[in-house]
Amino acid sequence: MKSISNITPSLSLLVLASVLGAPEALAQDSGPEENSPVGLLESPAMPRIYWGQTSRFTNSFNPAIGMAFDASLINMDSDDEDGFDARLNLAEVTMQGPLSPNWWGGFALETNSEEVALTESALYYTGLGDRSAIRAGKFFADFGKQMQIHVHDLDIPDRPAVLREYLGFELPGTGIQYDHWSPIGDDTAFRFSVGLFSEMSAHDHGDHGGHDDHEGHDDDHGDEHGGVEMHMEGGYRDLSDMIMTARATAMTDVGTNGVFQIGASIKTVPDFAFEGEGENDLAEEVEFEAEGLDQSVTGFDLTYEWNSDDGMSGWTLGGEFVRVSGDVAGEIVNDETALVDLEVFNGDVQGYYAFAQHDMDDTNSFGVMISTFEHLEEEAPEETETSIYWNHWPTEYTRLRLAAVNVDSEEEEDSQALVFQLNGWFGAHGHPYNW
Amino acid sequence: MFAIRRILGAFAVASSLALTSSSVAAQESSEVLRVVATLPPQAGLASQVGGDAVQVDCIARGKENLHAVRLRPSHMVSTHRADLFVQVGLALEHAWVPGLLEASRNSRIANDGPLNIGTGWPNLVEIPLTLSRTEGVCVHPLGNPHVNLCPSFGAFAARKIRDRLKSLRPELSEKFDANCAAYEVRIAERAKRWKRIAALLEGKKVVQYHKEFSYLCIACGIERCGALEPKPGVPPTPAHLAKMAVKMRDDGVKVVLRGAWTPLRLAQDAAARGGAKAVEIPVMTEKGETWLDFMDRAHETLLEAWDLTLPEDGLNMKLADD
Repeated sequence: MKSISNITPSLSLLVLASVLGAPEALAQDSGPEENSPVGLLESPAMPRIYWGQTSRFTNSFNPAIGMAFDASLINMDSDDEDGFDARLNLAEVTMQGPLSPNWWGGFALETNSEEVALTESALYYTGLGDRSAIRAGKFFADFGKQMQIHVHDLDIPDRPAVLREYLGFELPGTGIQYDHWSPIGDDTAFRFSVGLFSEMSAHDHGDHGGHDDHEGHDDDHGDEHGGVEMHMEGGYRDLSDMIMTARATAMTDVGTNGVFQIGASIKTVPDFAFEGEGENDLAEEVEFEAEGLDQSVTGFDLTYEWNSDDGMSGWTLGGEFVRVSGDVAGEIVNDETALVDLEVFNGDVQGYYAFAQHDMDDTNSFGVMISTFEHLEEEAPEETETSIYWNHWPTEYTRLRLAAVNVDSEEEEDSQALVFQLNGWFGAHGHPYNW
Repeated sequence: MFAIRRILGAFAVASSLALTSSSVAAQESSEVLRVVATLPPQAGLASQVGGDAVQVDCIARGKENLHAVRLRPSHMVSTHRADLFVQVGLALEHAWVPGLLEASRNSRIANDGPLNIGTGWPNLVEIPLTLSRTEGVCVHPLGNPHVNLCPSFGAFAARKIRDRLKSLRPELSEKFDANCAAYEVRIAERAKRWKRIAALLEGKKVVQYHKEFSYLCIACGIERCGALEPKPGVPPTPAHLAKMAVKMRDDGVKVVLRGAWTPLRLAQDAAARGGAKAVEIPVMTEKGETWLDFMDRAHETLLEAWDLTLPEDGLNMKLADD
């Protein structure tokens, strides 16, 4: 019979190991060589030197790597500027991979040869149960049908002008989003998402012939319109002051060859500032700021797609109505006494886009898109952008596009542009289902 | 304060919707096994083996390109509810199945994985020597994945489906064994006729539009003399079509095989330039057609392509496929 004094040290070690949550320590008792878990070798207060089932010199379990290329040759004809311009719109590197059965993640790094931007870097958790997921980090906000994916992946030649004006070319935000989808009957899927973001900046590639107020990457957490910038303070804030997005959408089979989708989206920015610089009567640069502003963007979208029996040809019709409400614009003004001030325009502006596309076969499609919107300005001048385009896919991974763009503007000079675009995708390139 | 109410309101609506849909999901489980198959032939095989113990849904339609099937909301719903997801595998459906499985978020399929009935097929051909996009767009590392068009693939696939169904419903093992065995007998009966047809076709020469009939050709002893696609998945180029026209005339090729999804006019013109004719071969079952009927139709279409007829005897009659 063992004495208590002999048992106690072993029991103490056992309890200590359990409290520390280190079953591996117990496992090592029975054979440290064969059972030594990779990933727990560490010196006190220092990081682990191995993670997972690899050493730092093997490439097992690495994420899939992809690259994308997007370049254009543009011929512009307007009263402001004429001539040709060759542009590298984008070179993108992406990585995506699972971390565990319930976690996956990825990032996208983009450059237009002048600036480099991290447009996405997020982890996705799918272990909540069927049909629910949480994503956290930096990712594209879930607004409307056309804002969820990168510009170069769109079938249409550019982000519709109304979305560029009200939301930006791309809309990456840093925050967290929950989404869930449910079947309704056998032929319909309903999905909603709710997101909270601390910052959301319009990301720019440069447009294809339209007028563009979004100049370059906006590192200041804001959108710039007419010299006045929409600005959100970085750092900590109340939950109620965070940007919120929400989207609800349903899509259903129409017969055996059609799909119809309807969706509604909202983005609220509860606390931001307009910042700008102006020159006073002494020719001095003066900075202005209007704080405590709020704004919301709402959208309502419809899409219908019909395909032939062999799936090689078909039609897609789509459109979205977008409205911006609240403090929609700021403007530096000179009054009669030559004093300058920043005036905030509170009201509503709205616009829409609509498009029709015909897939002729698996390598050719053509379409037309029209987008009309009121500018984010007090007078809300209107602008209409009309595009006709032809897409040709020599292979699954290359696309040639020819587009003609006409801009009819109340505020600026009208313009016409002819765009030849070349895209290429290397390696793994994928997107979640586009809701 | 307004913003807080707005956010809390949105979460309340979201939570209630999630709870509602969760309760709906709980009611979705049933005794009948829900099977989703990517292609109609595999759906037919699952129905034969599973009998009344399974409810089978199919994704692709009869005339679609197997590599580029158009997905619809109903596919997401059926895949989400499925107990078993059956695909050929071998990267045949790699362009659309991974996205479907990810979006449908079916934890049963995520845990067990889809059933790849092509995995382990012993007679794979056209295995690429190098994995490079210079070798084509449809580069399949494991070899030509169109094994579903091989007459002997039916029994192989049926057994794979049987084994997975048995693991899902062990209590019905005897039933699945019996169904599979009975179906294999029917396949063997039909195969006698297919072999007689193959004897007539042996030595004939074809060009394929896309190399999706390789296994059918091998089974029938038909010699493959190339494809209108210069590389798998790459649309025909004028230079390659000119080269193929010369080759067809030199080799005495009289038939160009094409699937319904390929451009008819292009195939007809290319065949005519080579002194051949374009013939559409079924790549999937049509509505109401069994896998046996489908294989019958494929073989008969090949016979008609060369204006051949099978001599009349007892084996020339189709067997009833109840």
